[in-house]
This record gives sequence, structure tokens and C-alpha cells, in this order.
Amino acid sequence: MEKKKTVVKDIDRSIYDWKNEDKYSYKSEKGLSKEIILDISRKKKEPKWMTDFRLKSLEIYNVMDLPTWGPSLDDLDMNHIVTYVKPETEMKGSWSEVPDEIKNTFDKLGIPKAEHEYLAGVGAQYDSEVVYHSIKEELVKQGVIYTDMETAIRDYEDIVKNYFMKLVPPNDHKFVALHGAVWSGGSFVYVPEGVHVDIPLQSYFRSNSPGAGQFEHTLIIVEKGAKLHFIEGCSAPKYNVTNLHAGCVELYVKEDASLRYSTIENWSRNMMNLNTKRASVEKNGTIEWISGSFGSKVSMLYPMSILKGEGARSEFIGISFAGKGQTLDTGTKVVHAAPYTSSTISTKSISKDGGAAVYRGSVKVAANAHHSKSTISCESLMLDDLSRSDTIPALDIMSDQVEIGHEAKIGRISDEVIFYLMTRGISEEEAKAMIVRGFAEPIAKELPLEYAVEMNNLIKLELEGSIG
Amino acid sequence: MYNKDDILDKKNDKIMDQEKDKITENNIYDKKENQNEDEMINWQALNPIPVPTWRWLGVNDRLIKGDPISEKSVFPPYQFKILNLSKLDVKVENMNEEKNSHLQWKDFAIDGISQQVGMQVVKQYNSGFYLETKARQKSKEAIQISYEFKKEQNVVVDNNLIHAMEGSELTVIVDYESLDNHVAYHNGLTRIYCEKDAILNYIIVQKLSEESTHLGACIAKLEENATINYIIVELGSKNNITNVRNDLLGNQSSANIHTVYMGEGQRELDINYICNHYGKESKSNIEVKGVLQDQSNKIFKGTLDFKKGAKKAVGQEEEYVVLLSDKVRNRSVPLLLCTEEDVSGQHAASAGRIEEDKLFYLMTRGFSEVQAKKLIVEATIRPVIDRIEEKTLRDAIYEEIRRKINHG
Repeated sequence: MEKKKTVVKDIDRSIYDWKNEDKYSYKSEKGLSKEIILDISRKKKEPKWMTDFRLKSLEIYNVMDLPTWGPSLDDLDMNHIVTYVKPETEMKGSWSEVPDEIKNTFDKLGIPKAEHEYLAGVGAQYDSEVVYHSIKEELVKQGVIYTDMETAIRDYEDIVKNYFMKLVPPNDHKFVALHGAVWSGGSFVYVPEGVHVDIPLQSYFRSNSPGAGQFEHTLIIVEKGAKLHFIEGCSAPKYNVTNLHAGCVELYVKEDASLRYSTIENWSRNMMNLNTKRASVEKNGTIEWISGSFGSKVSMLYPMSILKGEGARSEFIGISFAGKGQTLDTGTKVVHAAPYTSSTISTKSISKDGGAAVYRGSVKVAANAHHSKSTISCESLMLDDLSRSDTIPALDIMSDQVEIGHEAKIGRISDEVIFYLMTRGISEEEAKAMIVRGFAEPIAKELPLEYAVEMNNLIKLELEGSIG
Repeated sequence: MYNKDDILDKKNDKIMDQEKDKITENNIYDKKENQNEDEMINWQALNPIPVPTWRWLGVNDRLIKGDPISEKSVFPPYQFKILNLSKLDVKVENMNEEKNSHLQWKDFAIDGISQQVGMQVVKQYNSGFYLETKARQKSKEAIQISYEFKKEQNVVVDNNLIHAMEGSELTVIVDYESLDNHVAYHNGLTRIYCEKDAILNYIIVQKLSEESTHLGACIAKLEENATINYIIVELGSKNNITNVRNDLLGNQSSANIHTVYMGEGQRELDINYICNHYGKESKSNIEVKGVLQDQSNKIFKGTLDFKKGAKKAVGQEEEYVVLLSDKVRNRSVPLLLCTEEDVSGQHAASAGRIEEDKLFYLMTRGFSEVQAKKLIVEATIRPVIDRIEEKTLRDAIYEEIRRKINHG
């Protein structure tokens, strides 16, 4: 008799695959040139330093090579990527002013509803520009700034100039150089000293235009003793041409401050997601990354925490689910650059139907970072033998007064565990479902409720027999 | 897969690295400028990991500093010493072209450290043994082969072949030792073929002088239910580059690598172990215990690769490092690669300073700090060294390690 297998259902993408007609008020030429960049900068009426910065980034982009490691980027042809698509609307402060078609898209994604129910502020980006931004009145009164990057450059130029791409310089890698040249949209958050923003802020990035690139820039500054939870969501409908996402996130966590940055990334499977995220954490500050990767054709995403101040702390919790045709090369980087710093990394990955899930990470402990601690744990689950699951961690330790522990596990659902649960009166199917849910649970419980529900919907189980 | 272009692209790396280096200090493996490109290229990509990662970590491959011995060199012949042979019923010959070029050994890919390093052994060897066991012959005693380095004989390029016949069991001990302080160059390759049910215990002890170069590679192919147990003790040399690759071809085959390494002075260790699981229910276990002091610098790379079809294979990998100085650099890259669902793989790496309370406890018992450290290091390496059955060898290793732990 053929062994029955439990089928883990593919992700239902119908909500995300909603397409609008590709309408825009301005769209740049395909490819990349000085003229295109000058054009974008002119359209945005930017100050000269920003125009110069874009041009310098372009120069760096032109001389840098592609990564010689990681997934294949052969499908990406920069000469066919449209770097700037301005939607047919200016930024609005009320959903009723946003054009119906765009508003409907965000309605389907549940953004206005979420805003109403559990968010303190929302930003919504459609292709290259932010179309909606709002923040609760009481936060504004406390001096919290939450706006789109274009407005930030205009209204808070000094702050932006001080921080913009200082943490992630354009010479970091090729796609950051590209970002520096063509970035558009994104959110700017400033939380003044001592202010606790208890309800999350959320920015949602939607890419609608086929063959386009999205290059939003998120800059968050959490001042001394302040606190923030920021949620980032992203999706795009499926097209037959390759889209590119090369966003950049810079997080500055000051002394005693804390920031939680949650992402559920669910790009369509024609997306190359080459995103760069980095946090710098000062004395006794905390950064927490919650990262779920479900979509895209190829992802290369490794949020980095630089623990600069004594006692700084980072936590990374990640889950990825690679299905057919997907290579999700994700992980995290931590640099312990001060004494008494600590980091924990906990990742889970599931691969099925020929998908490849790769954990790639690095933990570096500088010579001065004595009494630092790091704990790393990676687990992967393979659901069939068509798929691939790799763990590629690196530890680099230059101090002798440290405690570092790394653990990784790969495997299938053990028959013993199933048997044990069955002796406790649980059916075989239920036991297996419990195990898969249990596998993802530690991540799910760190997400805001609505996201946890979304994640559970993403990993739908159809139980029929054994897993694996 | 590993891409040779990687080597040529490091100029751009530098740009990328600048920012990171500010935080993390200079990469010790930074490329030397003004090297003669032609000569260096092949020597740079030593000991690559099967899947590369970020270049700035400097772990994908490495170069040895200083000029390697040129390809055209002819090395004066060298005769190893052999102990215990008379007691054993095994066949040992000096390496010869008939064996070297035999078809059986042809399909061993010799690119473990690099194609060029492997070719130097296969083409220019000046020593080496061919060892063959008798089928179903189980030997209790170990055969001991030693390569001694001294001023007059400071280059050994040894090409070794071990054919473990069906059902046989044997322990082979190979010693590489400097008898004086003269700089030695060693490049060795051992190709091992274990037939069905064979068990081979292969013990390597390396004690070359401080400025020496040690390139050591082993490649083993294992048939059904065959087992190889390595015990590797690395105590000497300056450039220490070692590679062990096991192809677990047969069902229920198993490979165990137990290693102790000691980093001291300016030593640079690059250890690259790979276990490729093909056979069903094949097993591998990598256990590494290290001690780093002074300004030593180590990269340990260990890969468990579960190939499709290796159902119910089990792999384990563990590294523990004791750090005795704040000038050491300790890098570890434990890889788990998997294209088969029905396997279980685990790896763990940990590093730590000797806990202060442990030290304190020992010192309250009347031990000096150095004595206490020696005790703790000894306790760390014991699980590996105590696997060696020959007491004299075991004692000599403990003695050597105790002597080397010099200060705090």
C-alpha cells in the first residue's frame, strides 16, 4: 500500500495576487543611468546633497561585483528593471482621499481595518511612493514623528542628513549601492527621549507595477530610554517578469532604548528580495527582530545588529517557509563590539516541493567585547526529498572572556514523538499537526495576534498520513 | 558551489569591508599586496568550504603567507620509519607508480585542500606508503609509521594509500615530527578505501617545528558497514591546513573524526572536515576539542552533507574551544547541507574562557593558576586523547600539551 503523506498546503496567495492596472503618473525608463537618477531626484525636488549622494552611489554600484556566494541572481537583469514608478496620487492623510483602486488594494490587505483596531500609525506605500500616512494625535503631542521619507527630508532635513545611510553605507554591497542611487519612499520614525510608543506603528509596502523595483528606505531613531514596536509588511501580485525589492532599513537604538521590528514578508514568486536591514544599539539598548519570510523567488535577507554600547542586547527570531521554486537564503548577523553585550538567535525553517531554505548567519565578537554572550539555535524541517535545507553559520570570536553556544538541527518529525502522542490518545494526524504547529509556535507567539493568525493561515496543513 | 572567481574579486571586497573592519578590526587574512599573481592564484583558494558564504568573514578559503614551494621542485627521496610491522600480517610497500596510477585510486578527487596541493602529492611525492590488510584479519596491535623532519631532510611530500579489505580491522598511527627547530614543509595525502565491514583506526599526530608548513589531507571511501575512526592531534607547525573528506557510500557505513588541536604563538590553523552521506543509515560524528593561546588563529569548518537517498542517515558535529588569551581569533563554520528529508543532523559549537569559579576552586585546592589551567585543558581534551590505546603515545601527547600551556 502506498504510504499516505500529509500535505502541507501551499500558501494561498489570492489576496496578494490582486492586480491593479499598471497606472502611474510617472515611470522611469528601464535600466539605470545617470539621467534616470537625476530625473528621479528632480521629480522629488531633493536638496543637492541627496542628488550628489545618489550619483555617488551609482558610481559605487557600477564598480561593485555581485555576491559570489548565495543563491543565483541570474534572473535579475538590471537593464529591464524600472526603478521608479510614481502612482497617480500624492500622499494623503485620509483613506477617503486615496484613489479607490489603490485604497481597495489596501482594504483587501486589511490595512485600514488594522489601523483602526490596533495600530498607532500607518504608512502605506504603492510602488515607489507613499500614498497614505497617519499617526495618532497623542503621539504627535509627545513629539513622535512618523512620516514618509520624502516629507522627512523636507521637514527634518538635519536629522535625516545625519543618519541617512550612515549605518548601511552604499559601499556595503552592490544592492545597497543600487538602493542609494534609486531609493524612493519608505518611512521615517523619530521617538524622542523617554517616550514609550506602546501601540505598534506599521508601514505596508505594496508593489503593483510589473518589472519594477521597489527601493523604500526606512529610518528609525529611538532616543534614550524610548520604546517602539514597528511592523513592516510587504506583498506584490505575481507577474511573469522579475521584480526587484532592494529596500534598506536603518535602526538607531540609543542608550536604554528598545525597539522591536516585526516583518512578515510575503512577496510574490517573481520577486528578487535583496533587502538590507541593520540596527546599531547603544548602551543597554535592545533590538528585537521578528522576521517571517514566506514569499519571493529569491530572498537574501540578513538583518544585522551592531551592539555598540556596553550591555546592548539583540534578539532575532526568524521563520522561513520555502515552497516550489523558492530559494530563501535568510539569517542574521551580529557584531558584539562592546563589553557585556548579549545576543540570541533562534530560527526555524520549513522547506517543501523543491524549495530551498538556507540559514546563513554570523556572530562576531570583537576583542574588546569581553563578557559577551551569544546563543544561537537553528532548526530546519524538510517535508520531502525534493527540497533543500542548508545551515551556514559562522562564528568569529576574538575575545577570550565570552560564552558562545551554537546549535543546529535538521530532521524530520520523529516517529517516536508521534508514537508517544498516540499513546496519550491523540490521533496520528492530530499528533503530526501538533508537531508542525509546535515547530512554528515559538515564532508565532512573538507576532502581533493578527500576524500570528496570518502566519498560521500561511502554513495550512492538510493532514492525510505521515509527514515526510 | 565553490567558485574560483571568488579569489579574483577581492578588490571589491575591500571596499565592502572597509566599514566593517572599522568595527571588527583588520582581517588577518587580508590579501598581501604585490604578490606575483600567477603564482599565488592557485595557492589562495586553499581548503574551500563546499558552500561559500560572506567573503568578509575570510572563511571561504585561505592562502598561506610566504612563497609555497614551486611546482617544479624535485624533492629528495625520503624513507619513513615503520614500527611493529613484524607482529602484523599486513602488506606495506613504499609508494610506487604502479599503485599510484592504479585505476582504483584514480577516481579519488584530490582537490580537498586544492587541486594544486593534491597534484603536488600525486605527481611529486618523495615518500609514502601503500598499505593493504588481509580480508577478515583483525589486528589488535597498531602499526606505526613515522615521518621525521630535520635540517638535512626538511621536506616530505607523502603519498599514502590504505586499502582495508573486507572484514579486516587495523590501527595505523602516523607521526609527523620535527627533531630540530628547522623549518619543515610537509604536504601529505592519504587515500583510504574501506571495503565492506572493514574497520580502520587512523591516528595522526603532528608535531612539526614552529615555523613549519603542514598540509595534510585524507580522503576516505567507505563501503557497506565499513567504519573509519580518525584521531587527529595537531600540536605543531605555523601554517596548519588540514582536510578530511569521507564519502559514506555504503549503507550503514560510518565515519568518526576525533580531533584535538592546539593553537599557540602565531599559528594559523585551517581545518576543513567534510562528511558526504550517500548510504542509507550511514553515520558520521565529528568531535573537535581545541585550545587556543597567544596570538593563534583558527578556522574550523565542518560539513555534514546529506545527499538525496541517504535515508535514516545520522550526523553529528561538535566543537569546543578553550580560549587562553584575548589575542586569539577563533572562527567556526559548522555547515549542515541537506537534500534528503529522512535524516537527522546536529551540530554544536561553543567557546568559552575557563570559568573563573572552576579556576578558583582548583586554586583553593593548592594549585597554581597555570597548573589549574593545565588541569582544565587536560580535562577538555581527554575524551579524544583517551581513545588512543597506546599508552606511550597518549602520555607523550599529554606531556607535550602540558609543556605548551605556558601562561595565562
